[in-house]
Amino acid sequence: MPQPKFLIAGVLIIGAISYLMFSGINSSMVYYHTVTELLDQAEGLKGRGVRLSGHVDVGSIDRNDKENRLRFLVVEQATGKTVPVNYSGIIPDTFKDAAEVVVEGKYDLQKGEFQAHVLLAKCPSKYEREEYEGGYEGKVAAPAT
Amino acid sequence: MVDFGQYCLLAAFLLSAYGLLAGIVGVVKSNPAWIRSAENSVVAHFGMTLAAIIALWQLIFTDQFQVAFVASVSSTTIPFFYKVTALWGGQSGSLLFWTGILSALSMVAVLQNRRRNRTIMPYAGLMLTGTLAFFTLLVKFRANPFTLRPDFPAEGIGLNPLLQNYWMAIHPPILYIGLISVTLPFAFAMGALLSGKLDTSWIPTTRRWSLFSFSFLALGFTLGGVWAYEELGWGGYWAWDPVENASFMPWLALTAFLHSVMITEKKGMLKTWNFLLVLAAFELTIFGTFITRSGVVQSVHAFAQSSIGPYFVGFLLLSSLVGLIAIAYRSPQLVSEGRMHSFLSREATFLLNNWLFLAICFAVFWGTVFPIVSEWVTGEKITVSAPFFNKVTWPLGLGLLALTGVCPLIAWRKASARNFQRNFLWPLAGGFLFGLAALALGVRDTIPLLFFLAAGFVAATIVFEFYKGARARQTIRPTGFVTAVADLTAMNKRRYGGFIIHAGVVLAFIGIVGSSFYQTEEAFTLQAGQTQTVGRYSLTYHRMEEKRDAEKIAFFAWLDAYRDGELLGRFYPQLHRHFKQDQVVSEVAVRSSWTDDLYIVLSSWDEQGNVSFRVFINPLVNWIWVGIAIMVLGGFFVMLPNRKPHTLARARKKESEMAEAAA
Repeated sequence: MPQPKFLIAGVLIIGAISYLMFSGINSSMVYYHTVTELLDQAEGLKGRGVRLSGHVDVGSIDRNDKENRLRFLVVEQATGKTVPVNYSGIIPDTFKDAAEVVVEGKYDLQKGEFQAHVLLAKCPSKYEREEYEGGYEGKVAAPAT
Repeated sequence: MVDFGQYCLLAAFLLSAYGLLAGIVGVVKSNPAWIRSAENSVVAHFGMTLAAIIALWQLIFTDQFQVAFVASVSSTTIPFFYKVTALWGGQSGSLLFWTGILSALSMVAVLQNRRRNRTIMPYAGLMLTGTLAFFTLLVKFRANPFTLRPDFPAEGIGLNPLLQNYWMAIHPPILYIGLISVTLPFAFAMGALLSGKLDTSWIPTTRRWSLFSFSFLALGFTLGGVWAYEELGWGGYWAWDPVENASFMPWLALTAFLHSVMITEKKGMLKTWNFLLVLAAFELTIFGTFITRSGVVQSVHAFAQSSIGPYFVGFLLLSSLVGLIAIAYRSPQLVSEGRMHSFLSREATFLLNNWLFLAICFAVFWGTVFPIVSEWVTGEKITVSAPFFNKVTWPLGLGLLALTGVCPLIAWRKASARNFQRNFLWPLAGGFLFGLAALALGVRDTIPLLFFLAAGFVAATIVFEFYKGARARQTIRPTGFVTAVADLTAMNKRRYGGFIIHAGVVLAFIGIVGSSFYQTEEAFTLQAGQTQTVGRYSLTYHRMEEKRDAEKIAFFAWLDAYRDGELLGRFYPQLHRHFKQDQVVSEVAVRSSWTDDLYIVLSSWDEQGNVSFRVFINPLVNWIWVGIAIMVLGGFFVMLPNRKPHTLARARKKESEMAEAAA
């Protein structure tokens, strides 16, 4: 059995680490939502970090590099519902029409617009275009979710 | 070729299954013939896997697109070099490659140790053949790279353009070697447990292979960072992506092990702890492979969703169970021979170092699996992002860095005031000097200042140690100072190689802190002839140009860059449009120096001649690459056997004779 002083030190260290992790999680928690969920729960999500996933609505990209601004619609393919996204920052190479995207930020209820500070576009391939068992389409297909 | 490949895989699978069974029979009956046969099967397995790999390469080189894997990663137009790397450009091929590496390493381990570690080898062999059987099973029956398509397309999709990068070509093999080689320390540790040979004889081999994995993992994730930095164009190198974390976690556990094992060798303490760390490192590797390859977590660069996930979970559970039972079974024999006396002792600071490594490992693990766990528990999918990882790792990393200086110098048992004065006075002074220098250079934030203070302290301890050692050596053998340092290092590779690794750690920390806290980012649009200033740099845009080949069109922007008014040269940030994949990839232009990197991304342009750029100034990034390179070289250096003083003297005599002869 270790001496009490080492036990106490151990408990203190574990406590400090737990505190660090707990406060870290609380301050950077982000909720995953689909477009439908976001629109339905918009009121309750006020001020909360949200990670929204969907696809870029074809033809909706309005990109203005001069003003460092990007607007587009995220569409949920199952329902066809869309949310306008406003983003300024680095635009990944993989971002384009029909790409699968993840945006992180907050939903602005008044403007009805999602203010994103993170934009991820999934490599359209995820390394491979699609699992090869699925067959070769000969074109760039948006990967299935 | 397809049939040949399939037969090779089948033979490899049967061999590994046979090896496992023969090993079990051999161990149960303690029959050396069976054990020998099991060991030979590992060698044969390597032959078969190698043949399968060559067959797959052959199919890629000859554009056999009726093979689904070949069609998905290769095409007639990609350069030959990328046909070679296409082998690991997709799930099933990379899994075959992975199995091949494991097979090669297992063969080396078996051949090296069949005499040296006779008692533990049969059991270690069981672990190796078991793991081989698992991966070969997956490659043969679950993710078979030789699977045919119903048709024969005239052209393949080609390798993802983002993967067509020099770094991406060498990063996966290195990382795979790092990850899969964790199987060897695991096998030897389990071998010791199962055979009951629990003295320190299992340690040297395990430690050496751990160092091997440690070095390759560090090299692997760093090359991944270099790739991300050069190819992805977001100005950073590490994003706490699950796939990155997957290689970082086993490295942390192994590094903890490499430290704790010293306490076991010197003091006979922490015995059970060591086994737990090796087991954790192995399970984290399997876990990392699982999350990378099964699609359970959202990651920017995960493989396609796939059906192999459950197999990994099964293997993870089975191997953990075997490991934990073995540890529990032997725990009565793993009694500590010593005990802690004081917080201010080497034992206690090493233990603290281990806790910090594990705390970071646990935090990274928790952050990685948080979305899965939260969905389970609350039904809501919640993720934590980079701020979580940063918030947790900064303080823990600072603690670790400080301990890097304290641990090697503090006295065993209980440090006295005299020990402190003798070992820490000068280094502390060095740390303060470094801190003051940082302050003078304009560093005002608390975290970077603390890091620079600690970095200076550790650097000073290392210099001080080499100095003291060399002076002591000079009293034994009067030589020049440099010779004394070289002799010292060659004779005690573990201690001084360790300091070399630590020196690399210090440099890497300085680079990480500098580039994380002091990055400048600016986005702007220019017309021909216009100039934009960013920090010390100014950029003048001249014109756009394009170049076309079979794969892509490359658009170049011509820029002249100046630093403090002095011309640095012409830079060409580019955008490549790849036809086949209909994908645009930006190729950044980077101008590296010791102080900072000028990092230019071409964003877009329009018909009116407006060209948009995004420019980053990333301070001290080179320090990271150099630091980790030193760390990795240090790791390999420590793996070399120690030279005895007399052989050293003999070598030197020979050298001088040769020099005379030459003269």
